[in-house]
Amino acid sequence: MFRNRVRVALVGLAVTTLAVAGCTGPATNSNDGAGSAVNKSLNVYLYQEPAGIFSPLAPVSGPDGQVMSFIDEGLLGVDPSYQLQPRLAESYTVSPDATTFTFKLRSGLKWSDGTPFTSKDVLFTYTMMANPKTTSSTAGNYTGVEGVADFASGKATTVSGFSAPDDNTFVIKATKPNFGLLALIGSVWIMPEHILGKDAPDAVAKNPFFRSPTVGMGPYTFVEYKTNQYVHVTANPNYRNPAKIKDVYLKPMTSDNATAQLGNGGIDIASYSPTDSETVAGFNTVTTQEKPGAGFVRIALNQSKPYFKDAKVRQAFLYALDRKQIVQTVLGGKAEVRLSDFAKANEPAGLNDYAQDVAKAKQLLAEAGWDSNREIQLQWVHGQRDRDATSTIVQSQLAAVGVKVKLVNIQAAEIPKTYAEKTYDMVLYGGGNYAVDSSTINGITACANAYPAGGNINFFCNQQLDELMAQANSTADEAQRKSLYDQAAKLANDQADLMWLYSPYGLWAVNKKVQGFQAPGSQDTLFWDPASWTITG
Amino acid sequence: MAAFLVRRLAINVLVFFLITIAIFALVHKTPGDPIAMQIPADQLNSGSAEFIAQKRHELGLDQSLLMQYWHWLTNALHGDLGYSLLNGRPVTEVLGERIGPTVELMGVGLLISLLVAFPLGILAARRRNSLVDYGATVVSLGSVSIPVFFVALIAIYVFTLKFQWFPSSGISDPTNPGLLDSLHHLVLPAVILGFGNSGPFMRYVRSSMITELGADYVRTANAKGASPRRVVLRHAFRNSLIPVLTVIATNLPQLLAGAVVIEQVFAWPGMGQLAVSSVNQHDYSVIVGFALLIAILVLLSNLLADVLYTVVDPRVRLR
Repeated sequence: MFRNRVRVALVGLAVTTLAVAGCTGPATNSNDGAGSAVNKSLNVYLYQEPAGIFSPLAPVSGPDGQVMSFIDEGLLGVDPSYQLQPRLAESYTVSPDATTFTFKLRSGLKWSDGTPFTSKDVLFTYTMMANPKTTSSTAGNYTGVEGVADFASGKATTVSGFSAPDDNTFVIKATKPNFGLLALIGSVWIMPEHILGKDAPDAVAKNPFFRSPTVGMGPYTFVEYKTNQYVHVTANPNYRNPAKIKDVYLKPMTSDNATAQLGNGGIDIASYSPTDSETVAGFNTVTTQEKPGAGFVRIALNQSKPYFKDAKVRQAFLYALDRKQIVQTVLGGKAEVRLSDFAKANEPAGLNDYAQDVAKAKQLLAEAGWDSNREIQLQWVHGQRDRDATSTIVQSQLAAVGVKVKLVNIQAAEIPKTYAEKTYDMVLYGGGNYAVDSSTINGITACANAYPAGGNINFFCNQQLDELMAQANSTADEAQRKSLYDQAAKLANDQADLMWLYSPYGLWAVNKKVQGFQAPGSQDTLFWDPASWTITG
Repeated sequence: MAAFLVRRLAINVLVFFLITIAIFALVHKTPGDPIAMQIPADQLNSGSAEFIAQKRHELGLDQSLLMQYWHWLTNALHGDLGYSLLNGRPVTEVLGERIGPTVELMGVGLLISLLVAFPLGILAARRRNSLVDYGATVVSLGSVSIPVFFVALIAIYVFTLKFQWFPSSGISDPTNPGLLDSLHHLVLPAVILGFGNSGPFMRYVRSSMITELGADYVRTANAKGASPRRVVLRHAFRNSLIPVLTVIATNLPQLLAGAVVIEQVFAWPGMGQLAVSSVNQHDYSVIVGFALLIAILVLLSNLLADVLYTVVDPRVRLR
């Protein structure tokens, strides 16, 4: 009697499970044939779930950007060594006075839906990006373009600084010499005018196209985004150099999970954390690549507070730290110590490396009149292992020179307020990319860019530095720029505008069957040239 | 019964309104601006302040809290829970696509935990203070004490990495979808979830059975010569179900709150994941919508528990 019931119950359980699993799983079977589909598809790890808005108008988001690096292209692109390379543009020239940028587009290019690609699309995209009415989050970057002010205020219907004299040429004119404009707006993803051109400016950002951007100029075309599961892109037959791998699945998951799946073949390309180095090295199915990152972890000292205004204090703080040791213990050596905001490749030789010197630190603090009873707070967003560890090490190393530091965990959402109200003392954070063109450093050092007008959140202000940076940016002469930036770097290094800590390496593991992958400098940097990747065997 | 139901539903509606006010106020009062935090410091440009102000106005965040609540309430009564602050998708759509995977995971997990809890509990009750009983106690204590994420990580290491038996993330393989594939992905998370939840159930079953086994009617049945199995399974078991059923019913909201940790570790696209990410990103509309769903479920499942009690136990009358 009871046995019957048990049987019934078990059958019921089995049926229920099957029914539920069947109903919520995907409804169709792929008809590729399981064997060949495996060879023609690639699984790539995404470090975070994309927001699902694949639009150049939206605030920059790492994972969404990484998806767009498959399906979109710009006039120029940034390669893993942070050099600007021509993409949709075949070549470009900059006038000697650095005010005019002329792009020659490649001829014969087509959108993924077959429509011819012309300078009309470029003009449309740039006008849209410069227009604050479209809620373009980077509209502020275009204020350096001639005619944007009149356009934004409604006095003009077009931006005079953007012009397309013929189908294959696009010209940008700056309001004043501004070489850095190239790096700032030269790699914007170009959007299809034939799909979005009819939208009014305040409606274009809401166009559902950006949720499902099936038309693009990139080597792959968007297929679907199954929320929180994967983004599926497939090879674009109309790309100028058709991709060899048919389908790519970008899957968000935790880093531990990704490492495990590197081992069992579920994921083919993934970034991994230094703590997993040994595990990943033990997988005989993957090879690893390391690439120095452009972003760097740093501590900003709030220079609106009187006790941080003296450069001696800032220098002392740097002398107190043993940054080489931090890199060794916290990151297993997989990072490089930074000496300035300038990328290593762009830095001059001979900068002060602020090697740990406790005696010197104490001396400088004494000279500056540091009050050893003062307690200052170091705030940071908890959650990244290396930053959590670094904070405690910094606290103890500063304590050794007589500076009392209290560690404060803060939520990402609360940080802007501490900047706006200038209430914080020290904040530890990372990111940034000043490697493509050193003029971008201005965003965090210029007096005029004090938060909220710009990214100078530590309220550093040095007129001489601003002048050097402005001069460097106003000439197209390579040698002159280098010389001026070198002077600026030496000045900033001497003035210790920020406590530069380290640039973590981008650590990537690639399944041996994948060729051609070039590791980007960090887990959130865009992927480079996916069309050149192949799967062997 | 009808009068009882009507009265309870009326009270539930009132409680529900109070909950919406409380949740709305609390969520909006948390420090931090969800729009400002979308732009990290190193990407600020001269237009950022305007961009933020524009977006806030667009999403109605610059209105007074009362106005915002009123708009939200009037829309919610029409079934429109608003739009996500992050990507503008309707909240109902966002919640809707997560409910399926969560129900699947939690449903199967619940079944597994009951399948573990009942036999163990009954066995432990029958052989009280024996090795079996102590063993079952250890198992149930283990399921409660060992952190779920720890078990999950060990399971991934053993079953995904070492033996390569099961996949460790996602709900399906996009290149090879199908029923078998879905089940394959379901095994690890559901079993770990089931194991984690089985401890408390097992203890309830055990203590309830012990109470029943000490009752007079059981003595009578034994005296009449019924086999021990018949006594336990046909008589005592049914009566011991009464408190257990109410425990299960009140645990139903767990189903939709989702096993947050499990879903994070296994990249299972369910409600738990949504809860964590929307809270981290201060996505007000989604948080409120999600909390509301849980509130409704708690109220309904409590009602269900009360009704179930009368159905199962004729001695109880609802007034």
